Amino acid sequence: MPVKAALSKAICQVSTRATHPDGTPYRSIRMKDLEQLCQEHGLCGREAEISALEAGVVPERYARSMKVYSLEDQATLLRSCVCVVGMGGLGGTVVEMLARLGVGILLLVDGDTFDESNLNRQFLCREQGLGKPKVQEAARRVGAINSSVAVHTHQAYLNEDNAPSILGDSDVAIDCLGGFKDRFVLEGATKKAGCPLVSAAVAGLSGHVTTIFPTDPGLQLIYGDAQSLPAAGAESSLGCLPQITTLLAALECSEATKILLKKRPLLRHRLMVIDLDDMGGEVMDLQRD
Amino acid sequence: MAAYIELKLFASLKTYLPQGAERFPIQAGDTVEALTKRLGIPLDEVKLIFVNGVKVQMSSILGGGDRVGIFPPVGGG
Repeated sequence: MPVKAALSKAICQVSTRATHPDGTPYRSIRMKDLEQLCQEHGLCGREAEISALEAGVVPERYARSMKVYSLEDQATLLRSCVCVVGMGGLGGTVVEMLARLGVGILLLVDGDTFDESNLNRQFLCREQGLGKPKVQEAARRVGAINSSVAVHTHQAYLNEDNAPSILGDSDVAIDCLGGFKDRFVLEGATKKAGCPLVSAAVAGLSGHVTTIFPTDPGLQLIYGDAQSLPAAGAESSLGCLPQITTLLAALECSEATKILLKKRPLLRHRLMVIDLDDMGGEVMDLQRD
Repeated sequence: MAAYIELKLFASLKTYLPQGAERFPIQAGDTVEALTKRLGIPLDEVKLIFVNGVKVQMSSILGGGDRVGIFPPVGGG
């Protein structure tokens, strides 16, 4: 029997009947059975999960996603590679969500270590982790919540020299950086690599998020000329609060998954601006039609 | 006849928000730049201007009923 057929048969044998909360039936496979299959067939976690989905069986960890995503969608997410640049307030939440969604390969980039002032908003920052590299803590967190995800860490700040090799063949990059200069470096690298970019920025309780495809004008529509910008923006006087970083991280993940699943992202040539002081939010056009 | 705009200032620009911003009077021919000067906002603190949900330039002329939003440069992560 061909290897794939044998694997598919083994998956079906250990799968069980299950029902969604609305009563819809599905075939389910549990983590311990997937681990066993990995050992027997020499697979990594996400490969085993993809095989299960291809056999029509839902890895139980994704069961509550399957009313929005099809089995094929979930397999696509598991095959996808996303590069997250910046492991701070935005990045920590983005990584948490992508891991739980089952985005299969995560490239995590940050040269910084955790500091006490990160504790107010950065989900990856814990008291026991102060002083530790942010990417190391990020990998630890992903491993704890979804060991099927392959994590590659780069403990470095992105620059023009290292950006192409770090980005590699990413399907999407997510800008979770602080400041301005590095955002333009990341955007330049994604344009060269032909990789879509989702970018967010915050200050106080306000922020904005957008989606940039390689041929789009991109960040210059938001920030103007990179050379004209100060080292830091309004965040230097207002700080950053977890309510807005978490909300914008969720919006970044929403756009990124749409791109991965070949659905139309909503924020291309547009900027969603949010102000939690007055619960105001609006999608603005960055270019007149 | 007097014209009014609905004015919204974001992030660090909130300190310049005038009383009655939701119905703020403008003068005929007012540009965004004239408005920001009147509000006392330093020009280098203005990065993004939206009128009725569309990005515009400082030279854009305002009209009665416009919804105007102004953002400083924001880069926190």
